[in-house]
Amino acid sequence: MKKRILCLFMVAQSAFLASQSVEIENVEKIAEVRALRNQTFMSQLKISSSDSSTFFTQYDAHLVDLRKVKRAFRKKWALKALPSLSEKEAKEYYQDALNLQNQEITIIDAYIQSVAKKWGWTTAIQVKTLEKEIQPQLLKKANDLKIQKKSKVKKK
Amino acid sequence: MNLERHKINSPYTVDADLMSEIAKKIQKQAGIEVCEIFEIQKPLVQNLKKSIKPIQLSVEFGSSYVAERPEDTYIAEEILKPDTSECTAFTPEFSEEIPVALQETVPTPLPLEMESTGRVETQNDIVQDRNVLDAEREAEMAFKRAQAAARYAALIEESKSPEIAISGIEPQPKSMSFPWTTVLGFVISFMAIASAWWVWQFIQKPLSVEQIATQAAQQQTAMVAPNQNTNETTNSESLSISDEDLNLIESIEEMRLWNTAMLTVPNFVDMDEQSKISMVQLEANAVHVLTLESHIFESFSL
Repeated sequence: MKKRILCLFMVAQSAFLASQSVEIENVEKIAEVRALRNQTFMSQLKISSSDSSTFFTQYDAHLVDLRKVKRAFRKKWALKALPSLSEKEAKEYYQDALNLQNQEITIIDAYIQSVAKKWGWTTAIQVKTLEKEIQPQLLKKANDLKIQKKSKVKKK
Repeated sequence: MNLERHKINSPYTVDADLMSEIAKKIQKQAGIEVCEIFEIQKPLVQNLKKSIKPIQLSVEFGSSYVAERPEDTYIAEEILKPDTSECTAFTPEFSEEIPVALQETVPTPLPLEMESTGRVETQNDIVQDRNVLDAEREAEMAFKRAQAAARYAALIEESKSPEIAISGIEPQPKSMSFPWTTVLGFVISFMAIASAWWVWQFIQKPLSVEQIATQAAQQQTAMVAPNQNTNETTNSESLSISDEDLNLIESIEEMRLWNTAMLTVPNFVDMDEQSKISMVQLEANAVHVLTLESHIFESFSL
């Protein structure tokens, strides 16, 4: 009986350690992808290394805000198909989509304004376009590294 | 213990002794040699049964019949009738007339024990009563013997029968009926499996928001795609332009195509599993933001 309990404990511990190792690997992989993104931004937008921390701090912050409003919308309307909505729900959906658009515009506007203040409008108007351009590269990099699930890295 | 038999074996009889005493007195007074006038004889007891080793035929609670001879083990068809043959007991004969010479000296006979009927018993009456009692006893024994034999026969028949009927319990008729218990067992087992499956589904990890959004996007791509095509055709048809505008439009179109070729932003729904995982993880770590929402308006872009 004691041996069985000990075996179960060891299996649980090994599973925990395995998950932890996966977490650690994911953290490293995501850090590589982030490094690629940052490098691309810096090279395309001609941002110095001294300003990169500030730039990417603002950039990541506006991504977090965008993600927050998008997730709120998804959480509310993801499970509902548009044809199945009632009149009231459809109206509410339209209002929420409109609000989401407005919120995204607000967030992006605030970010662009902040970037334009420090790095100029030429750099500011290229950020969102470059963001779309590097998405395939980031995706390819992430696929090559085979990022696993369940990797919520708390940013320091 | 047969009390009647005991009485028969007893040599003492009140009447015989009394008469013999009277006779002796008379003989003494008459000067005659005294001799026994009444010969006391042991009455014959008919059907005296010799004790042999009994054969026990049946044992019943409260009563048991033990056959005292092998002949008694047969099944009697009729109840034996009592033997009413006359007893051959000795009946002493004496005349009721007493000699004149002895009349004075003959003491008056002591009164006999009177029966409830008031009839004075004589010797013949006593013997007859004995015979009647014997007959009744025989009849009773025969009746009991017959009853025991009948019970024994019933026991024999019960032992031969394949099934013994138990009082109070009715035998269940053997009939082909629908196997309700089997069906109920199957239903209960199916319900147990279904409940186990439901519990298993219930404790599964819920889908993430991205996965749910993917499922919703898959439902909406079908209705989004034809709308886009119609919009493009209507837009192109409604334009009425000059040659200069046409050149401008063509250049813009070329730029747009070049941009779209450069962007090559795949739709999240069309991505493979690894790509989806990668995109979700990148968004979770604030590296990139997905565009999963079904915008009524075009996505904001600069």
